[in-house]
Amino acid sequence: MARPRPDSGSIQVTVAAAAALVLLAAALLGAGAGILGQAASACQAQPAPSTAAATIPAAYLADYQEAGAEYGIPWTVLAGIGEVESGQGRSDAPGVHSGENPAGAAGPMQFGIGGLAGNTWGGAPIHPASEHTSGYGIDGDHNGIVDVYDPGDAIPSAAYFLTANGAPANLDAALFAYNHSDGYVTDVLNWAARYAASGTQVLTAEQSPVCEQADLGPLPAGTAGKVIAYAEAQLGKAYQWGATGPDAYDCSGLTMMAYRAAGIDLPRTSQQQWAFGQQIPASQVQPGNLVFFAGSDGTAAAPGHVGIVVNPATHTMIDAYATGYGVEYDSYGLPASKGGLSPVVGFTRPM
Amino acid sequence: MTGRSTAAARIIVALAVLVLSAACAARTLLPPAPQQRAAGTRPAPTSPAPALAGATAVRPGLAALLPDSPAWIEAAAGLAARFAAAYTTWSWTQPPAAWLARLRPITTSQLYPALAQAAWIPGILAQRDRGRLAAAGTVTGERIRDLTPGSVIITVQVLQAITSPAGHSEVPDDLAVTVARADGGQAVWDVEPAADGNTGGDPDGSPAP
Repeated sequence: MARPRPDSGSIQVTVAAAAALVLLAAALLGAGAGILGQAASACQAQPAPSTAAATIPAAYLADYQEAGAEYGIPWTVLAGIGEVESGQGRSDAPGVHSGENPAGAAGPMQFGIGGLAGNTWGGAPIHPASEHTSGYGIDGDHNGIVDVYDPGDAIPSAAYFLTANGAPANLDAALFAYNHSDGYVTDVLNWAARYAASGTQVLTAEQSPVCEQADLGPLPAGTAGKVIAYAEAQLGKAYQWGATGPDAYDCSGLTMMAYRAAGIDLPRTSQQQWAFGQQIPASQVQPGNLVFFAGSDGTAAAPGHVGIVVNPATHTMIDAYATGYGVEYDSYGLPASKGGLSPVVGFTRPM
Repeated sequence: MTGRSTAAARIIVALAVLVLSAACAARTLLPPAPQQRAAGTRPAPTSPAPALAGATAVRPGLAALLPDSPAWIEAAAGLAARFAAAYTTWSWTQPPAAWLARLRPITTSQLYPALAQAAWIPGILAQRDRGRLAAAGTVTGERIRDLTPGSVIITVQVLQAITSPAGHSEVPDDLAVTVARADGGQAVWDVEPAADGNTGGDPDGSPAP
């Protein structure tokens, strides 16, 4: 997936700063999802529907498109969730139209209302809009009722959930948060592509500095230290393709295990880790962030090598470079860096 | 769990084949013993050939060349097979805790939290419940990918039989199971798709295996 980096012109910086202020104000005033949605709407051009989209019930399609426009998320992605979760509400499985399934999920978008699924909806499955909850359920159709079984509420609530978890800047990560499964993310995006007239997503969010509001900021306190401490404890161990420790690693196996030691699960390969991270500009790189390179089996769009930044000021990282090398300190982005480590593809802060 | 005994038998056979193959390979690298020379080949010199500098009088056996004992490796292969079968066996009728309970005794404390997190994914549980899905994994083969002192990566081929009211299907899967020393014994350190890995940063590096 191509992930063009935002430009850094002064006008765009001003726009980004203004957006950040709007979001800060929204957070302080408790304005919630509405303002978040308005800020994000500038991030996204909405796809035109394909002929396959004609199979979506009209009311659902209208809700998807309205929520997509409001929250700046491709409506096709919301429709993909609706398809995977409940067959656009057509499923008669327990929990779709009433009650809950054995995992505690309910409604056409299968929000957790308790049990194993947790209560991401917040409060009772159907509750007055005046009731404040800590969940993602909102009164999307403004009828005074927050109803998990009502697509008019469930669909915009799903959009709200995605924006609160990194969308639209990092849609993959937001979908992964919705359902922690790589296969689920793929399924939803495949359906989304089918519903788009162009057959592909229209993901322009990362080209807009307004969307930098999704930046997650620094890693949680202590995380970088744990990640780097783990990596340093592996220094000198061998590179081995496909290895994830404890005695040998490949590059992404090292980064995955270092983050696992800090309680954060990363996908397995560097290409997947690139897609699931929040990209950050070089000027904001911090210790513990990941640095990516095309490597020997990747490209700039799907990097094949990854390391853990130790000191951004000196361009120092720890990586499992290649066969014949151990886990070691290497420089990145410098003319004197090892082969393949001078041109940096980018940096991420894992979700 | 089905097929445990047959899987164990396969492992023993596979390891025996491995050891035998390695032994055969080693033999091809060594000069054949005089009594094994085929007819028509040059006879052994009547006077002893000068010994190579540094050569040892007694060649160590294959077991001595391995980073761990054959028994340790064989036990690791058995553990990897048991883990893979349990990992790929689940049912919508059983709570995730039951699946985790089977895995916990054979996984490291480092891996278990990741498994526990995966076990409670609401969406996956909902999909299994919705489809009334059950899966039974059977190990169909194993290979040693990498041996280091204290750990071994074994790729395990699994055939997962998926059943639901709608029918039955079989899905093959390849897992890379890393077994490592833990608490004086062995435990599974990690499980990943066998095809996943990165060849690293060297643009002139070798391609993925």
